Amino acid sequence: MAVVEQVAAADAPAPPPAPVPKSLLRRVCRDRTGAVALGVVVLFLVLALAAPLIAALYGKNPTEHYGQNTPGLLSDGGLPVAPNGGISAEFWFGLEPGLGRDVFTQLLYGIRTSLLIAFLSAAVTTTLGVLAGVAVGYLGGITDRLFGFLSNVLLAFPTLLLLLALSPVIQSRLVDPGTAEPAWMQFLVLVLVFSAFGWIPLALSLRATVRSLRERDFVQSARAMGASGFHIVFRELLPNVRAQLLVHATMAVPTFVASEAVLSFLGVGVTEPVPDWGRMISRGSEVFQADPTYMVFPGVALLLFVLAFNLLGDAVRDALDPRAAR
Amino acid sequence: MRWIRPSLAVLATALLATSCSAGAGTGSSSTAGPGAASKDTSPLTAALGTEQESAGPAPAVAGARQGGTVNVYNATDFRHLDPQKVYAGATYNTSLLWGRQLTQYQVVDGKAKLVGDLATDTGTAADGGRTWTYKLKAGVAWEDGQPITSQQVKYGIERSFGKGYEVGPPYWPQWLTGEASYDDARKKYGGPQDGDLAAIETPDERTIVFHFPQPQADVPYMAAQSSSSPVRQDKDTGTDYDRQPFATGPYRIVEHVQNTRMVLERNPHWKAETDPIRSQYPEKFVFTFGKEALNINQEILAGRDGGENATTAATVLSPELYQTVDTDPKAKEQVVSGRQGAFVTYLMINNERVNDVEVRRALNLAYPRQQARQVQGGTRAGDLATTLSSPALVDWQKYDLNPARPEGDPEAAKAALAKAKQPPASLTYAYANTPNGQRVAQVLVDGFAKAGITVVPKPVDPKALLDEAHRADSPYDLWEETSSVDWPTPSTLIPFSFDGRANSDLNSARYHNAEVDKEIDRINQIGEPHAKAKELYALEQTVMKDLPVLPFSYPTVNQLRGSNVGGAFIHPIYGTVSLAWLYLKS
Repeated sequence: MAVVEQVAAADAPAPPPAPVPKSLLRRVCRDRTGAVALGVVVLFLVLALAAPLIAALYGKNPTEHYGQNTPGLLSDGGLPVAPNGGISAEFWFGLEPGLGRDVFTQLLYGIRTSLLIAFLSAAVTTTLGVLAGVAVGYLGGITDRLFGFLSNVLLAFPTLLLLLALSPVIQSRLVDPGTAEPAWMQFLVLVLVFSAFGWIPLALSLRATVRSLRERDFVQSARAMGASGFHIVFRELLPNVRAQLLVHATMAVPTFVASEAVLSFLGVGVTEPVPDWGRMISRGSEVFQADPTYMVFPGVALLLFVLAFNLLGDAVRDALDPRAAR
Repeated sequence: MRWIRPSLAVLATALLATSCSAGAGTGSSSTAGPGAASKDTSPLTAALGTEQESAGPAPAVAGARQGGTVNVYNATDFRHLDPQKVYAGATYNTSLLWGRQLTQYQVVDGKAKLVGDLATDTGTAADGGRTWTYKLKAGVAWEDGQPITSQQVKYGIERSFGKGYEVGPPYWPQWLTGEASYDDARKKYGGPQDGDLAAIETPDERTIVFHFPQPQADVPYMAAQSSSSPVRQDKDTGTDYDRQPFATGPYRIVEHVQNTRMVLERNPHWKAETDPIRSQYPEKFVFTFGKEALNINQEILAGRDGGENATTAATVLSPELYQTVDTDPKAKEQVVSGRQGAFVTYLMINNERVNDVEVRRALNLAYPRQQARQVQGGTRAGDLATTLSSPALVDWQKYDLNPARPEGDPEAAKAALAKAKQPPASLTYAYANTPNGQRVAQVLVDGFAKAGITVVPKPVDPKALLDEAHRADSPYDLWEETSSVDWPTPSTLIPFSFDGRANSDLNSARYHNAEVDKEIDRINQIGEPHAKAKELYALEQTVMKDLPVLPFSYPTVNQLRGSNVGGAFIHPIYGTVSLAWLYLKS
């Protein structure tokens, strides 16, 4: 679930210095797909940041039950009266069946939920993965064997089951009966669970890279000159795995976005009233026969978002891979 | 004396909770055919039928035709078929096909009347309701032709004391021993292996006399429950009797593979002239269990491969198909809708936590009932309720002591709240954590907020909700609950659920009113059913002046029938399609 697909461990890169090229952005943009993907990603970022501003200009908010409070918008059974899910000049993407909330602002604020969780998780997993991967790769020996065992245990862990089992426990143990579970706690739980399992693949691939780097002449000579372990890790090894890191982080974000949507779809992710794409899709599947339009917007948005991030990740990898033909 | 129900499970699954889905049943069109009953009065016309009305045969169904095989598709098999273990409306209803009781409901034009079934009438009371006598009809027989005797009825009731029969209703053991609790009753008599139960006399083959330590007014209704079916000792196969009981009704079970399939054929020894309730139109009934609810509904609508001759025992119309049946007139005709028996849905209030009646009044005024129903399917989901009791009860009359606008009136609620000694800082609303539950919670949070009442929604595991809310130290102020009385009289409503001396499992609203408790004790001594019902309705209004809970709706149930199936209606008491009245049109 939260397992980030293993980034193909490139063989040891050329001896130092092999830092991330300064012209990375230009190289990504030279690839047309990469440029478009970058554009879409930036658009989503801007939309997420400017959500309150856009909603204010548009004149709606994501929590008000417009359809229920204004007669004539929803039928007796809660379906939008206007065709195509209630799309109108007033409600650009229509109304949510049942509660009658505005789909456009729900989507807009949904980006924030997805991005916040995905970026936080990517940041934590990348940091953990780097620290563990480089340290273990450099130290080797018993540390390496212990790490191998730990990663096997964690990889075998049923993440989804854990979350399904964990969420009621968190509800009853950590939340006071008189209060609702605060949104930050839901976010925190998701980030923690994604992080607990998401760092392994990166750490594994980095361990392999570092293990081969460690035998290279430049490391050996640094060691011969009496450099400290700290110096070797941070000055000699880390700069050589920076490219691998960047690719991993870019690829991790869409994986976490999709995972979060799946969890919310299953009812263990983000709960009402925080706007969320996964839950919108889940509701869309319930009313699909009666109101197919409602499924379209969150479905297409999620597809675009994940696709753009994946393509961007590919473009970054191509730009960084010294062997890639250009 | 006090009436204690043995467990919460019973309360939750009482009369009609079916072995299948309870779901947000729904459906708008009123029933074509005999199901249509006026909405403001009880479907029970004359509660008790006379001896003449108890004689067979059943009133003929107009246009009915003999022959053919009716398919019954159901998502799940019945939990129990052993008559003394059955305690669910759908199974009560379906088991009419093969089982007969002392009394039963005759249904004509959607109106139910309790008449003698195996017995010649609904029973004769003596000694102020302490002694009840039934006489069996001549000519009633088992599926092998042997006559049904009063000893076999007695043996059946004795079984309900036995180990393993706790799943059935507790009333015969409680009433016959005079013990308030089922466990104590079973200590006095533990089933047929303890020998003869002295409280039931059988002076001859056709007479059965019940002796109760206290007066009992509801014996005729209890005599209609599945527990009051005869069982023949030589055919009592113990646990296997739960799979294939021996038939007394118009059909017999020839094959039953649990969770898969069951086949019923006509019982040659059933005589129409002894039975005022059931008919025997189709040749066979073939039950298929285990298909997905949506598939079942689609097959019936498509009308192919037997779907045209099919209906369900309890599986309701899937919400995914609401739009289809609304827009397609042919499909709409196949929806059978009706009130879900005697169920009522309430917004429950913990009166110990919310003890100011003005706050409860404010909640009632602000309650966005219409919006809460809209997110569950609108008028399909049921009619909005104003009473504690269900319209399915005998002698029921509509009343509304606390009129409130269906969409909620925040201004009026604020005014009521201003009268409260101390308005609550916030109220906790516990709800079943399902998509539907989440939506209703959003509606309530939004609606009450407009009246200045902060409601904190707390999602709870659906299976644990009632346990959590009924726990003595429950931290919740509000929750939704759907429950039903055990038979269509008010006897098991106020005396069970609003007795201040009962524990919070039964009196889950934690309603305490010494006046009401005193009245309950007085009314329980009344042995005449109509007089007792009248007193209980008056008492219900006394209770409702305090608004211990907020009635939400009388839920509706919607099922599908194949295009070739005739005579389908929702049983006004049992709340599912009645199979014993069906026929095939061609």
